[in-house]
Amino acid sequence: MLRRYCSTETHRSLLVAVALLPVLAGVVSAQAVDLNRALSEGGAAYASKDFAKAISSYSSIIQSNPDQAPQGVYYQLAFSYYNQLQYQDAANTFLAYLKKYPAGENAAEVQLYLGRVQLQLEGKVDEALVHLAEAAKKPEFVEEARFLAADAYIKKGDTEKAAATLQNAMNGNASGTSLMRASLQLIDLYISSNDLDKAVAMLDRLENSAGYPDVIVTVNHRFVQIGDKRLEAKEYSAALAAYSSVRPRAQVVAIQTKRLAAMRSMKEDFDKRIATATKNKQVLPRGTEDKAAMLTAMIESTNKVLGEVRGLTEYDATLQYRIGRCYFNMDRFWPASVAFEAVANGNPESSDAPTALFGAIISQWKLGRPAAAGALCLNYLKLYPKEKHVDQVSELNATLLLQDGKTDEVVAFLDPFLKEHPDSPVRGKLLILLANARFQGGKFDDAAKDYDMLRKEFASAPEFEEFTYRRALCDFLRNDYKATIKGFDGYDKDFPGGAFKADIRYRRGIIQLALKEYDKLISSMGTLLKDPNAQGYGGQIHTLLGDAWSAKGDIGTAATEYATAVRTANGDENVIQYSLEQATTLLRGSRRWDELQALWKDFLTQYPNHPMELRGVSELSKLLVRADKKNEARDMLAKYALRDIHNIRSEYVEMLLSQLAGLYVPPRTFKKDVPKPDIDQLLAELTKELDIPEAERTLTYLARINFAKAELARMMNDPVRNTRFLNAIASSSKPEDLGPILLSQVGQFLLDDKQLDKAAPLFTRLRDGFPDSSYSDAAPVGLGKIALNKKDYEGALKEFDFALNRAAGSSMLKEATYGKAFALLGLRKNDDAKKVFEEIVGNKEWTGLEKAGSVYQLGELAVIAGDKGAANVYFQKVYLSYKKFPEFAAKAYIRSAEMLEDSGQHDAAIKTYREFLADPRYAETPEAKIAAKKVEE
Amino acid sequence: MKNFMRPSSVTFSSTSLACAVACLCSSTLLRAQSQEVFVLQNGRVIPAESVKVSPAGFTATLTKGTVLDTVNFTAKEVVRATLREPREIAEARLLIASDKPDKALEALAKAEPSLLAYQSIPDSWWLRSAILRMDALAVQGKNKEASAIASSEALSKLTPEDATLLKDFQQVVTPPSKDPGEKIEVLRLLTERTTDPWVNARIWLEMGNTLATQGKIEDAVKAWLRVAIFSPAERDLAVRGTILAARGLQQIKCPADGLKILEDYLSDHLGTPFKETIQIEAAKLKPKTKKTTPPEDSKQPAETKK
Repeated sequence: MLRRYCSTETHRSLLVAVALLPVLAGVVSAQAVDLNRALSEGGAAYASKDFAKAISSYSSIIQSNPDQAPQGVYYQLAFSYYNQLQYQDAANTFLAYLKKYPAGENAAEVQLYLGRVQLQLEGKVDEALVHLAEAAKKPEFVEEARFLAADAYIKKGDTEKAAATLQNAMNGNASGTSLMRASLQLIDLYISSNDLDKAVAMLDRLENSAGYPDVIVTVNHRFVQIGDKRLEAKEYSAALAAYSSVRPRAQVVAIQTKRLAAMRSMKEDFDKRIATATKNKQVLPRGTEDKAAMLTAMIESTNKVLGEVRGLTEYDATLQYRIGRCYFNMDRFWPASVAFEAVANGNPESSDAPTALFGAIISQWKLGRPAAAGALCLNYLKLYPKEKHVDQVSELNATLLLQDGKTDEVVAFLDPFLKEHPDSPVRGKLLILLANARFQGGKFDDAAKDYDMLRKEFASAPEFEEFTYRRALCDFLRNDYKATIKGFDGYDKDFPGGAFKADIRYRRGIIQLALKEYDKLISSMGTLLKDPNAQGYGGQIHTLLGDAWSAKGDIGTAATEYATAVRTANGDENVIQYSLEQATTLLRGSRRWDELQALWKDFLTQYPNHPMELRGVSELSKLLVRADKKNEARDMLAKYALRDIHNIRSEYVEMLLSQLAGLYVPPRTFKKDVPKPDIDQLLAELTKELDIPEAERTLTYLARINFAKAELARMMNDPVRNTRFLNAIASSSKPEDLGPILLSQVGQFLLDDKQLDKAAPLFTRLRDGFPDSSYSDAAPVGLGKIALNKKDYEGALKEFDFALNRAAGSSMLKEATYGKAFALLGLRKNDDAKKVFEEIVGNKEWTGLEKAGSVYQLGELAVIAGDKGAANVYFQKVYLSYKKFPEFAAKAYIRSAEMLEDSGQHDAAIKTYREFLADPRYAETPEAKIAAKKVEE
Repeated sequence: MKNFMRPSSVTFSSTSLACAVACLCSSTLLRAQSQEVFVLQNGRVIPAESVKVSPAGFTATLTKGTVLDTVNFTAKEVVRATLREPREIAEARLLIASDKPDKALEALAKAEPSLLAYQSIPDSWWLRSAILRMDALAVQGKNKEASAIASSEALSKLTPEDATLLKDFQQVVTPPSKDPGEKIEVLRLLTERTTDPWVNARIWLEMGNTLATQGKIEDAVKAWLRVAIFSPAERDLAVRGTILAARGLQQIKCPADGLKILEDYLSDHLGTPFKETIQIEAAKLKPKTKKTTPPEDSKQPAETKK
């Protein structure tokens, strides 16, 4: 830093110099008088920062009397040169001072500034280091001397020594301007010499220093610079670390704003002090005005920087994009996708946004998530229809939609796209996709036209053979076997070694099946199985053979063929599902248990996580139990349940646990003297089967263990324990720990137990967290019942309507309809309520309490409508047909009798009361007392 | 496919750097000279080691040559204090990230009495402790209790900036109303407004939590991962984000991806204090098999055990 103004130290030197005046005053001569005048003028000029005049005065003193010039004259003359940027003169004068006054009062300071000045001169770095080392011997100059020494080493290119010097300074908690400047210089040196680790280490230290707010923008930039170098060098992890050290714009702005406010407050304080001193004509402490001026400059600079940073709207986006690139190149596609999406969503207008969104698409595609990639494709096409990746994105979008079987969407997307982009470089590919979409979507007439057009327009395309094959398949799939055979024959002729030859032979087999030429089929497929080109079609061919044998009536061989088809399906879903079902049915029918067991075992091993896995586990466990391998069945069920035990979204787990619990229920026995099963022992065994290390037990795990126990208790007809375990789930788990089945079951349990406040959060979580679950309709039904209980009929109606019309699940339609009727009753919409109750009564598939309750309510509605005869019919129907539900039957008896009484049929009423009292199942009901009283009367 | 990647089209403005350097070259007044200091309104910098809490505020005993100088000041006179993070607070962060919020609360309880005197100092450790307490309670599901910590009494003792931060954080831990969409909107606004790096990262974490309660697990995973990706310096939250994202990935049927991000975390952070936490989490994601040795009775999951 240039010493442009007098520092406090120079002022002190001035005073020292003035104190020396008597020395010259002692020499009584005209020359002395002139020298004293020169000294006085020099001092005044120096004080008023007129350094040129000070140089002139002080130089005249030294020239006329070099031996007797006091040290203050040398000192101030040197600083005058220094302030005038006359470094060579300053250096000479400082040297003269040191020669004359080596132990002078200001010798250390002079050494420091001599070193500083020499750094400005060519070829004086080594000398400067010597003087700086001398200056550093005085504690007050040690810090500054170190930074200057670091500067000197940087100039010499000795970065190691410079770094060591700066680090020593930082270790001493220094944070001054010189430190910051020297550190940044060193960092730049490291960056330019690709010594990036050292640059990062230095930047890290700067970040932790108190002066960091002053250099935050520069530090950010250096980290980006380093990141870019690392990225270019494919050192992605290191690049990521550098980018991660960059502060986001909001933080930079906040830090700078805070700093600005602090400076303004300080400046105001200085201004007040200066104003007060001026007003009162007081002397200000030394340096006050300088500090105020410096603050003004700093505020101006900071304001400018702040304005610039605020204007950099893409500041964060460009950083996030770089971070995304690092992750992408490290094959870490989840973080890459998130970073890219952050750019595209957070700053869609930024110049990196289209490429970032494209990066997100590719990341999701690489993650094997076609649906997510497809959604991003659509977003890209919507936001950036004219960007450079639009053709690639369109092709990918159509491909992904096609893979997902959304053929109509492919057509709806590609038709207009091809019209809008007739010159697209990927037009051919898109036309193929369009044809394939129509083919896959069953639109064979359109697809046939497409393939005809493709054959014509792209006759030399490598896909020409496929167009021919698919064109023939269009006929095949339209059941036009004659045209198909013609097409196949044409293909065989044109492409004797064609890629689809084996497939065509297989399809000829299908035609044979349709034409009931079974023996021909069995023979031709047998030959085809030996063809190495047909290896991948094993599953399909064996399925066809299974069908042929089955049609011939040879169930045993058919079962074997289907089982072989499953094992050779090669992932073909159609083959797996169809042949597995067929083989299971046929093997079970012919009681080939071992083969059936082996079939499912192989299936589970061959296709982990297959949608039919749960069915497989269930089938196999039953087969194992049948084969007297209960323990093996338990182990298998436990294995599959534990695999996903912490995943609340896996609904399999509860199903498997329930099945596992069932394997602990002892077989029923009617023998006498058989001791009762020890349920605690069984519960302990079940828990042991599902044990995992304690550290891995989550609240979800514990809740599911309690569920398994509750299931076992339920199956053992032990309602006390069942209640206890369900209560335990409710009291020890948060709704977030439970999956849809538990939320639904525990919520219902709490509702039945009148613990409405505890049930509500579970249903809310089920509604919000699992809207797509087949159990989700339990949520609005539960919440509706709670609302009904609180007489919030509007709220209840809304919930029940949701359950009936919008919930994904449909397991509680009856309950929802019943609840809706009560909500309508509460809202006094009796006609509407009546219709809903009638709907329940009229539904032949619905039985149970709701039906009984509906008939009863129709009776009550008839009463309200004044039709007591009709009401009595309803009440009689309830007590005659729904004795299983005494809560309605008992009431219905009383209401029926009341109807009879009201219509003057007293004897019939008494008969009804007596009939009611005679039935022991109603003896404890409150209605029994009413009836008894009526009979007495 | 990597070929599509090109350098960002944006570079950092060089003019701003020139300004920053110019600014740097003129500033000397605002910096503390020591790591642990109190900076007073009058610009005086007092080393923390010389400061003791007094009934009226703080007393610093400074040595000037052979003379002892005593400076009394109140918390409100302090414009900035750079003090080392109390051990208990660091411990609490670790414990919350390790799913032990109850132990974190115990640690915070130990530190809080001594932090009370610093309450009115800007960005004090008291404030951080209060925020962590709210966080730990929220993790326990005691959101109402967490929210109550930012009482009007507590807020009145803070600087306006800190009070705003605490109020903002209160919104983070407040349970969502009937419509979780509202909370998402509140959180979105907070992410734009909050510049405190830790709180900002925690807001993103909460964004994920709230999205998860709505069943939007994929969006939740992305919000959680954002914390790990863009706020790696907030190590405790980055770990929490990583773990939650891994769990979320399991829920959206990508358990292998979840496992991978945990493994990547471990390979990137070899000396991490969260190693065990991550390893346990990874073990939870791996397919389970039952224990081969019989468990001790005491370790059986009791039906009421949390």
